[in-house]
Amino acid sequence: MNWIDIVWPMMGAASLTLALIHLLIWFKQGHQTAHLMFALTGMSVGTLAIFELLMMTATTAESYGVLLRWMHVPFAVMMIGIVAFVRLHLQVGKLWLGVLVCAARLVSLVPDFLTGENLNYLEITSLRQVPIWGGGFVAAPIGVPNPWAILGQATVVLLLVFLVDALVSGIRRTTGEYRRRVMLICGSMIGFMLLSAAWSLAVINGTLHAPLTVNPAFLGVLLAMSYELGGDVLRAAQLAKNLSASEALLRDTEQRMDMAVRGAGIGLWSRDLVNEDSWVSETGLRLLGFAAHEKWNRAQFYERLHPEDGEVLQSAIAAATSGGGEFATEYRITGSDGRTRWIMVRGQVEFDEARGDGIRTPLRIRGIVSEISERRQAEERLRLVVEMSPTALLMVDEEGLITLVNRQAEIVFGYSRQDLAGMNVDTLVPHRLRDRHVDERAAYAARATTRTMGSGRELSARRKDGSELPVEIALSPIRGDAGMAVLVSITDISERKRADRESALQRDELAHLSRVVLLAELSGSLAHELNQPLTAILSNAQAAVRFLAHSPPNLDEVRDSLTNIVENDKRAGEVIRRLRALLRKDRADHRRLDMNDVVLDVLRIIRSDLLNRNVDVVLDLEPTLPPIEGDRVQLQQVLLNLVMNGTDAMADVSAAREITLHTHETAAGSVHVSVTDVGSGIPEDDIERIFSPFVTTKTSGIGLGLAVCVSIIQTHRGTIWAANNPARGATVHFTIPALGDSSHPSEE
Amino acid sequence: MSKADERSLAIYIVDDDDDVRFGFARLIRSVGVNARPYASAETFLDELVEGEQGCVLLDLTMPRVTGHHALARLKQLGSRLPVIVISARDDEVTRAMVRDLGAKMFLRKPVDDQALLDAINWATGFSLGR
Repeated sequence: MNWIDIVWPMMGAASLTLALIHLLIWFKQGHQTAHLMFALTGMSVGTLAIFELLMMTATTAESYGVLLRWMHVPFAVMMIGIVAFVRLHLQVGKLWLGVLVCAARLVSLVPDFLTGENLNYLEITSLRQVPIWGGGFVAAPIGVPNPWAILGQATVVLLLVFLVDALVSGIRRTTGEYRRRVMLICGSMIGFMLLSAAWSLAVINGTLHAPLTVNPAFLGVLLAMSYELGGDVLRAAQLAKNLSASEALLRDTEQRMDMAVRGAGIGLWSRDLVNEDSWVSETGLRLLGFAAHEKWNRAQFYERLHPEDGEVLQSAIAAATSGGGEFATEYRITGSDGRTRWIMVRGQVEFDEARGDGIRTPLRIRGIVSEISERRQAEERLRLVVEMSPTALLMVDEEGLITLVNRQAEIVFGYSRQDLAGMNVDTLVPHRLRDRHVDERAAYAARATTRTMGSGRELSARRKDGSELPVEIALSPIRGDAGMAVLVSITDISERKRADRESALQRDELAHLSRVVLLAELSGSLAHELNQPLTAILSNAQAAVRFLAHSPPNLDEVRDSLTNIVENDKRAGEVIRRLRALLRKDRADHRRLDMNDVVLDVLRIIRSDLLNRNVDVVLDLEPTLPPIEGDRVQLQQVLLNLVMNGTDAMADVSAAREITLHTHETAAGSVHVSVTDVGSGIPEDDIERIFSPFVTTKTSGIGLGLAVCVSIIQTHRGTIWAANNPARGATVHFTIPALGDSSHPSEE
Repeated sequence: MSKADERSLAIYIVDDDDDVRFGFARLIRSVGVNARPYASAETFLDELVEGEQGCVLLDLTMPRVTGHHALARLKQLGSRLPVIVISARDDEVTRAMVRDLGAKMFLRKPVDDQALLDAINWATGFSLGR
C-alpha cells in the first residue's frame, strides 16, 4: 500500500463524478452536446485511472499486457471526446484535422488488438518493480516494442497539432471573453499534454521516480474543460438571476409609473409583438371601460373596439413597427358599462439590435393610454360650429392652399369639399381680378391683421360654373407651428345687394310719388310760371305785326320784339325743363352741385305760389359755399317740401309772412341749409316724429313729404332735424357733407 | 273821341314781371298810345295823378302790394281810372273778388292783342287799334 493506491482511485472517482454530473446536465438540456462530450471524456479519464492503477499493481506480464491493450479503448474515446468538445463547444479547430485525429486513433486500435500483445509491445517478457518517491514500487513492463506504436504516438502529435491550430485560429478570429476561453482551454490542453510528454521522458531517463502515466495530465485537461463548462453553468445562473432581478425591477417600475400616472388619468400598457402577449395597467383597464373584476383580455378588447376603428388601430401599429417606432392613434371602445369612449394611445416600439442586413425586428410596444372623450366632444362641437356656420369658412395656408372647408363654402362656391381641399384660393377669384388678388394676398401675408377685406369696395367671387357673386370677406390670421394660416369668412351678399337695390328703387319711387303730389299742389303756381313768358311772347309777336304794318314799318321795335320773343321762349323752355325734371322717374343721379343753385332753382319754381300766398322770401346764402355731391331733383324736392310746409304753417298769419333760406359751411366741413318760417311752429309732442311717414300736422296732404325728405337726406349721408324758433315759427335744418376735392364729375 | 284825345291818354301797366310788362307796353305803343309801365303797385300808386285819362292793366300776383291791394287802394282813393285785371290765375273766386274790388274786366294770361284792345276800348270808350 502506497500513495498511488490512494491518489489514483481518487482521480478516477473525481473524473467519473464530473462525467456523471455533465451527463445529467446533458440529459436535462438535450441540446448541449458539449456536456455529453465532456461526460465521455470524463468517463474515459476515470476508466484510464482504474486501468493505470491496475497496471501499476499488476503481478504478471500477461495481465499487464491485457490491461495495456484494453486501456487503449478508453484512451481513444477520450481523444474523440476532446476533439469533439473543442469543435462543438469552442467552435474552433479544423474539422478535417479533428476527424483525422479521431480516425487515426480508432485505426490504431486495429494493431492494438491484432499485433503482438498490444499497441506498445509485441511481447512483454517480464515486469520489474520500479521504486517511486514516497516509498513503494510500481510495476513497469519489459519486452519487445511494437512497431505500430508509432501510429499511436502520431495521433497524439496530431491532436497537439489540432489543438495548436485551434488555439491560433481562436486567438485570431475571436475577441474578448470568448478569446480568453479559447486560450484557457486549448492552452491548458496543450500544456497538460506537453507536461505529460515531459513526465514520461523524465521517468524513462530515470530523473523522475514516478510511474509512467498519462492520467494526471488528462485529469488536468478534464478539469480545464470542467472549469469552462462550469463557468457556463455559472454564467447561465447569473444571467437568470439578473433577468429575474430586472424583471422584478421592471414590474416595480411599471407599478410605480402606474401609480404616478394614475392621478393624471393615464394608463400604461405594453404589447409583446413576438409572443403576442399584452399587458395593461389597472388605470388603463378602467379607462378602456373594463370593470373592476374584469381581467385584461385581448379578444374582448377587439370585440369592444368600434368597428370603424379596428383598421385604424392595425394600420397605426403597422406604421409604427415598420417605420420609426412612434405609435399613436385614437379609437373608440365601448366599456362593459355600455358607454363608448374615445381613447388616445401613444407608444414606442422596441426593436432588437440590427442584424447584418440592417433589418430590425420589432419586439414590443410600450406606451400610455388616456381617455379623450371630452376633448373629442369639444372638437366635435367646434367642428359642428364651423360646419354649420351660415358664413362660408375657408382656412388657407401660406401657399394659398385651402386646408379647411365648411358646408356653406360648398354651397356658395358650388365646389364639393373634395374639390376645395388643396385647391389654391385664387381659383375662387374671377379671372380678371386674379393677378391683383395674388399680389394682395402676398401683401397681406407680410403684415396680417384681422380685418375686412377691401372694405367699401365691391368684391367678387367665382363659382365653379364660372358665374360671379358679390361677397363680403373678413380675414383672421392664425399663427401656428406650420406657419401662418388665414381664416377667411365669406358672406354671399347677393341677397343683400338685391334688397338694397329694391329698397333704393322703392325709395326713388316714393320720392317720385311725393314729388308728383307736391307738383299737383303747385300746379297753379307752375301754370303761372309758364304763362308769364307765353304772355310776353304773344304780346311781343302781335306788337311786331302791328309795327310792321306801320308806314314806314318801325323795324327797331320789330327787332326788339323778336329779341324778347326769343328770350321768353327760352324762359318758358326752362320752366318746362324744371318741371319735367321734377316729374321724371329716374334713379337717383349723384353729381357735384352748388347748394345755393338748388335753393335758387326751388325759388323759381315756387315763386308765384309764394307771391299768391303773400309770402316774402329772405335769402341768406353764403357765396363761398363748397360743392356737395347729390341728386339735384331730390334736393330740390326736399327744399320745396320745407318751403311749402313753412308757407302752409303761415297760412293763418296776418302779419308779414316771411320764409328765410339760409346756407353756410359748418366747421365740420358740411353744407348746412335751414328753412325758417314765422308760422305756428311745431307742437312739441310732434317735433320728434314729424319725420316719420304718415305723420302730418296739416289738414291736407298724406304726410309723406318729410319722411321722404329724411330718406333723401340719409342717402346723401346727411342729417335733418327741426326746432321751434325762440320767437315764433319753426326752422328745419339739414346738413350734407361737402366734397373734399374737385376730382368728382361735375353736373355739366 | 278824337285822335288828339287818344294821344293825350295813357295806359298804366302794373306788372312785376319785366318781360310781360315790356310786352304789353310794346303792344300798346304799336297802336300809337302812350304806355306807362310800373314794376310794382307801390310806384304806380305813388305816381298816380288825379284826373288823368286812360286805363290800368293790373297784374294780381306781385310781391308785397298785390293786385288786390292796389284795387282796394284805388277804390279807397276814389279813382275813376278803369282797371283791367290780367292774371294767369283764373278761377271763379279770383274773378268774383276782383269784380267786387271794382275791376272793369278780367283777362287771363296770355292775352290776345285784339281782346286786350277791345277791353281797353270798352272800358274807356276809345277806339284803339281800329
